[in-house]
Amino acid sequence: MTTATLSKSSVRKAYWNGAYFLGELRRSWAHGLLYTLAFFFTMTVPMLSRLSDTIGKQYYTQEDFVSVKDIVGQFTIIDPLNNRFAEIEYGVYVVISMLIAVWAGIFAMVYLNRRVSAYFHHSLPLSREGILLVKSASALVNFLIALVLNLALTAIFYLQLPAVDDPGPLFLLFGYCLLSFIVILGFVLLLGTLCGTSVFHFLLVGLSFGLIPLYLFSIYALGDMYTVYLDIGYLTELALLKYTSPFLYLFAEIGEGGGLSLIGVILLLVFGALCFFGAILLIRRRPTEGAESPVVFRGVGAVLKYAVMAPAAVLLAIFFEDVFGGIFGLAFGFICGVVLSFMLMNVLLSRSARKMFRGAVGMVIFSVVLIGTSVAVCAGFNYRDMHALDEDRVKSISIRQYIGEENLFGNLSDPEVIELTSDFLEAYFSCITSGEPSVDYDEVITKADSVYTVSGEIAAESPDVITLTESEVKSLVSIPLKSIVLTQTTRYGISYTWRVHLDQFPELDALTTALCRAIAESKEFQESYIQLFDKGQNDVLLSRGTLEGKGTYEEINYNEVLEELRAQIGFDFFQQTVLGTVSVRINRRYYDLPVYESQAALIRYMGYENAEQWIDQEVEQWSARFGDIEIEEGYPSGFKCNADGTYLFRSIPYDYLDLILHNASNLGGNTFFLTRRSRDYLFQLHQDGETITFVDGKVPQEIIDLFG
Amino acid sequence: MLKIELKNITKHFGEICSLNAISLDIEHGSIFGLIGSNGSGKSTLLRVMSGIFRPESGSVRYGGEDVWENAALKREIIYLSDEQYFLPACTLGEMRNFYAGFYPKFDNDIYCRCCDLFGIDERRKISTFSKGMKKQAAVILALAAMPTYLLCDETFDGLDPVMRQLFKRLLADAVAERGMTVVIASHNLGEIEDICDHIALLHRSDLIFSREIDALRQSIHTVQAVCDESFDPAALGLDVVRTTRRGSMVTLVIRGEREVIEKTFTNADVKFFELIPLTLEEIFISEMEERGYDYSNLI
Repeated sequence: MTTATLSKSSVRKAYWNGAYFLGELRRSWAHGLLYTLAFFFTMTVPMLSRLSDTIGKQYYTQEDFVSVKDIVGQFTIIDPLNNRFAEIEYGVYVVISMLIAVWAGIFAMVYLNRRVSAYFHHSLPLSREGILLVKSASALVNFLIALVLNLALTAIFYLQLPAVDDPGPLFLLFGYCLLSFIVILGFVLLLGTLCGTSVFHFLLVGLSFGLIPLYLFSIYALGDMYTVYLDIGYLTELALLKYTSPFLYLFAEIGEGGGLSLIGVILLLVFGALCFFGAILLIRRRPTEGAESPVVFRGVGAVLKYAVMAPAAVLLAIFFEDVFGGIFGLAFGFICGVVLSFMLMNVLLSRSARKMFRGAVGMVIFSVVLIGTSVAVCAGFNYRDMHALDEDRVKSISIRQYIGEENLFGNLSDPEVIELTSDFLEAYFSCITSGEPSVDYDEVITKADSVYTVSGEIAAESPDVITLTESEVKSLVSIPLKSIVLTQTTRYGISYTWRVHLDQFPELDALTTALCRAIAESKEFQESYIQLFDKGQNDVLLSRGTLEGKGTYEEINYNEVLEELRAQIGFDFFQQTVLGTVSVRINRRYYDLPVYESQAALIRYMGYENAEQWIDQEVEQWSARFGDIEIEEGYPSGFKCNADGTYLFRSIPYDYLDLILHNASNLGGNTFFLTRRSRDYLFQLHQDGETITFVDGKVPQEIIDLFG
Repeated sequence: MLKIELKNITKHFGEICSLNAISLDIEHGSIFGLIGSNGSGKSTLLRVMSGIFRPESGSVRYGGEDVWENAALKREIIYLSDEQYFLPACTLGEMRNFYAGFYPKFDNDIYCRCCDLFGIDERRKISTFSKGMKKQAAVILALAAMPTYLLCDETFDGLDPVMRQLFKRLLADAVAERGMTVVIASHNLGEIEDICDHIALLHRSDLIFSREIDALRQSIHTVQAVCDESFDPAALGLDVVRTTRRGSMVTLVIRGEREVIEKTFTNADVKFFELIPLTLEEIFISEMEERGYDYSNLI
């Protein structure tokens, strides 16, 4: 018999095993393929499609006209004109990266969720932290391979797009995706250390995504219940919402916002690192025998249970209050919410229906505390209603006029209007405290439609300086003002909004009318913003915009009034604010550049003389004037045409842009219109008294017949 | 000294005590059997010994080194679970690579020899193996890893008699050739009796005893005696564990030295007596009966 000896090692803990890592990579090839395909179909294929669209575009050419292909080089210089083609939608890929991170994180922790697997892995000569590190690294490498592979392919297509010679956005995309993946992976790993089953891990990830927003929603709704009526849409104004979950923050900042600041990146990295180190610390303490039980650490289950119960109780209370009405509905809903969610969570946590009432005493105590908190929150909302908006402290009024998809805004400080605002707010509070009106749900929907068309809005920027936003739509068109929206924006970015239907408050309606009139008549308002016209002037303007402008104006059937209004506002707005300038929005700021007489001068100004300026900055919105043609890329791809001082506004697909620009550049003083008929887009040119109409680059016979 | 030392190992699962202050010494190069009633804590003890579970108190030391999160030491330990785990969709060959990555002494010659002996095809997916073949695969990998310590939990279950004998022989060879220490937890007392030189009995999370198996056999005996009805075993002054009387035939299980028992019965008022050695199973039952774990109490 030989004597065995132990191989002593100075490093008792092993944090890495190369063979294990390579084996993990080999074994998870299917995951890598899944990630690759996810990016391929959302990133590479669409970019290839954009490239083929650009390459295969059939430009309209006509004798004596200069082809767009001849001037495409010049347009290339004007980056914004082609920006849409080259646009990278970071938000989509950030979401995909986060989903991959969730998947990878759950998969990395799966070995802990079966007893036999956990025993096997923990008997291996590798520390628990080492196993987590290897699995995380494997997930990261799989993700990186998928991302880099697709980015490389995408770059090949992207750099061939017109106006693109800078791969910067792709590097930015890489950074965003990697950051999102790392942060969410750390977060999911941290949650995984708390769970003993994959199902519960998945549930916990879902809850962490939505639990705090759900809380805010329920509390906000609870407070809103005591105001005029509930509008879930107001929640989108909660700027704080994005801070409630890393998922929301990443999506809000990268997907919806303009990108992450350096501080944001650092904060996210710190958050991800903390999550990861938290997971490392917890996995050392996590008992292996916790596998196959929903939560591993004592106490986590109780926290989770009550965390779910709170919003469930409040939401059901609101729901049943809406169904049955009064205190009975409120109490019934609350009890239902508490008891049902309590039972459900008990069953989930103990995996036994017999234990659904375990801890009933805790449920009762929790209910009492929750009722107390809810009452305090509601009282707080009422207090805010009564005190946060102080009518004596209004110092200025901001104007926000919603006309279809357009809005105009600015600030007024006319003392007479401010005085009326004070009266209005006083009456408003009086209406709120006098009792809530009964509003039928269908009626609300109907009114909400009206509100969308023409709405007045009152906004408060801060408790100290309240600004009032209002629109005098009555004097523009004969649509009665249906409602007033009051908004208070706190210094923390939370907007509280109330909506008042004026027909329910005759007193307020009268005051509102007076207020609107005062705003409309104020010299400051008239000089700065919109020229108001009476009905007769409206008709004249509309006729000029259509008939006298030699264009064919076809009203959209779904909302005749809206279309008239839109056409007119287009006239007013652009005649006064855009004509004579090129307005460009760069990094959320507007820059007005002078309009030159010719396209060549414009290109020279924007391209040749300031090339660096345009290349380096991301242009978000632009408008320009070519000869007599005014073009703006607005919302969503709006297009405004001017001929002989008359404007029309329509939306067109971006694909038409080059064609329009081409023709516009060669028409000189001729008229040019774009109209929409149902789902088809008509492109009409008026040249020397002749009308030429195109649909998708081809002139349909019926249109030719129509115009003779 | 590379012996395994367990000191005051206590482990609870929630409110249930699975191991209650267990202290054991397992000599290097021995084959140690863990026996006990169901739920007595045998598997838990093996998991604590292999560094899977962390005890609330006490320590497990191999040659003086604590096993908890000690990767260097765990390279010398293989834990053969009662329920085998293999990586998903793996062949035995892939598992060999996996083990070789963790255990530096992994011996491909032993692996190939064992594959031949057990008749296992290393290219076949393990998921297609039968229960017994999976156990064989685990045994092959464990032996090829050349551990200094092998902890087996119900490893004989699921193996056919031929394979059981083969496994025993391989274990005995490993112990003899390179001083491997083997700890086997099993209900199959016959198998334990064949191979083990030490044994420990666990019951309801407590350690009842830990002894050499030969010494254990010498410490308890069955005596069959023919005597009158007036014969009172208690009057013998011996540690009588169990008494069964059928007419004039009395069967006694007595704890104590063989010579003392023989001398006592020679002097006692019995017509005839005979000492019969106890099997391990009989010893187990006797010990359990003494602690109220008797089938007659269960029926």
